[in-house]
Amino acid sequence: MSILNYSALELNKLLQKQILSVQELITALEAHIMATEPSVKAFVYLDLAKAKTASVCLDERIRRGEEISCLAGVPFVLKANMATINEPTHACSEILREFKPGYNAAVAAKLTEADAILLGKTNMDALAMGSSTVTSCFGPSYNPWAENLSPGGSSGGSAAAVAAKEAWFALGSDTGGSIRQPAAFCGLVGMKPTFGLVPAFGVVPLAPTLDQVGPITRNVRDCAAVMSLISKKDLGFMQEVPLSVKGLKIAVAKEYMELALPEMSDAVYKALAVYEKEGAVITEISLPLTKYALPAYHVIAPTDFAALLSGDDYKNCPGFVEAVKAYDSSLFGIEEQRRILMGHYFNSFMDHNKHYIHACKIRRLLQDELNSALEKYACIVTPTTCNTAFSYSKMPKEGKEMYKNDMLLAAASIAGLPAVSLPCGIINGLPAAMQIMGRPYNDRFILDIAEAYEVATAKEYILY
Amino acid sequence: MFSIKQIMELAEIASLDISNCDIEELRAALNSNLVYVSQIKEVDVTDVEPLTEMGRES
Repeated sequence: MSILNYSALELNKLLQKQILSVQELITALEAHIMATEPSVKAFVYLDLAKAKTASVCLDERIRRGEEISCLAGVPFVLKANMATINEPTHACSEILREFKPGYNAAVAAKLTEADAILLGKTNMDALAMGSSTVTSCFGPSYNPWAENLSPGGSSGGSAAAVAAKEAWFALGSDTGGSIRQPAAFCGLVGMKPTFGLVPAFGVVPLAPTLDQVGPITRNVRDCAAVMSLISKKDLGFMQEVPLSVKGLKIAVAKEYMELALPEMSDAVYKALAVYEKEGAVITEISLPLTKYALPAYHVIAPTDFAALLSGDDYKNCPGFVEAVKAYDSSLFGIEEQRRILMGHYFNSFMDHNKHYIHACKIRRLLQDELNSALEKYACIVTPTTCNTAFSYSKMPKEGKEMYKNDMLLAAASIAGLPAVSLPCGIINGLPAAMQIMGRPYNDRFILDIAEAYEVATAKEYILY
Repeated sequence: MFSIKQIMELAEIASLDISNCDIEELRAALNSNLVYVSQIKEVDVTDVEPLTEMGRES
């Protein structure tokens, strides 16, 4: 089997056993990236020289028999909104082209301390405002599953890189679905952790009350391994024997099923049948506020962003506000301009109570509705997206039509709940995905539930 | 709904240079967004405390 096809944890074992050296791995990967990247365009910054230097040191330590972490030597990528010292952290926005902070994002520091090998940074919608990568100032990335297909967004470059096997895992950021949607479109696992569980320091902000960092991986176990390294709390490692779902109460939300295309709902119902066969008890529930999550999100997120730009600095991303203000504001793209204007409108005396406060009250109600359901059930299962990945040629032009890509994702963001997306079938040659939402800080538990499905279906990750 | 005058005022508040924008296109997009988000008003939020902050684990 090609080394490209191993999971991150399997690859680490090969390195630990010295069946393969990290230097050999990087050399092989370099050839693959050079061959693949012209059609995928996942990277906006690639530093293989740095990766090679890191690999020499790590090989030496492995030879000496030093104990290394479960992701040591595993190549990964960061979304371009995550700071690394003196390296581009432009979030693919023209306005931040020259932003090179003098610090590392907390998650970048944690992974490099664990000796994972950083390859570079990946494409995204400018300032994370989008669901396709088309708003990137570098142009779009491409989903390796089919020609001219969007990988989703805003963490689309991260997902495209992992799906194209250019990296074993990626970190993305998820404000209203930006990890889960691209992971779903690219046939990968993507996790939005509980709000606050993973440190957001050093990540270019979009909406500080919503922003979260999380992994995009090839399987659930790799996702749990990355989560264990980047979380503030010790999540523990997964057990060798997967969780038994026998007797587990799983809710399926009917509003989500109705919003998705019938073939997507069918794929999720088939996944639920797998859980049922394994002994879980499936119950259909109603979450009537679901349809208000996305419009409420599109009030709260731009208002948060506009408020940030009106301030002096943002402590979680020092220098960001200053960098934006130092540049000609006409460099903002159309989507950025729209959201900034909307945010200032919601934040202004003209409107503040009409929309922003109302949206924050809906946020409370949505959180109560979901938490109340999660008191009775171990998790809530939904489709991740209404449809499979879309072709660039058929992409809606109007902003609000594009926003609908995040329709099933916004509620978990607004409520601060953990949610994982994982593949659950193929529709017309493209991946379908389900989302599992859980109680706050039950991140590991929903990953266990996700893995139970992977194991039950003996899923092999067929990457494009 | 947004008037062009109102958009210009907002751009000034936001210190946003929109001189090279198609202002009519921008107005149409903002109005469309406003209609979309206004559906939140269908929800009765009487006596509900707004949730404006999320707790972060230190």
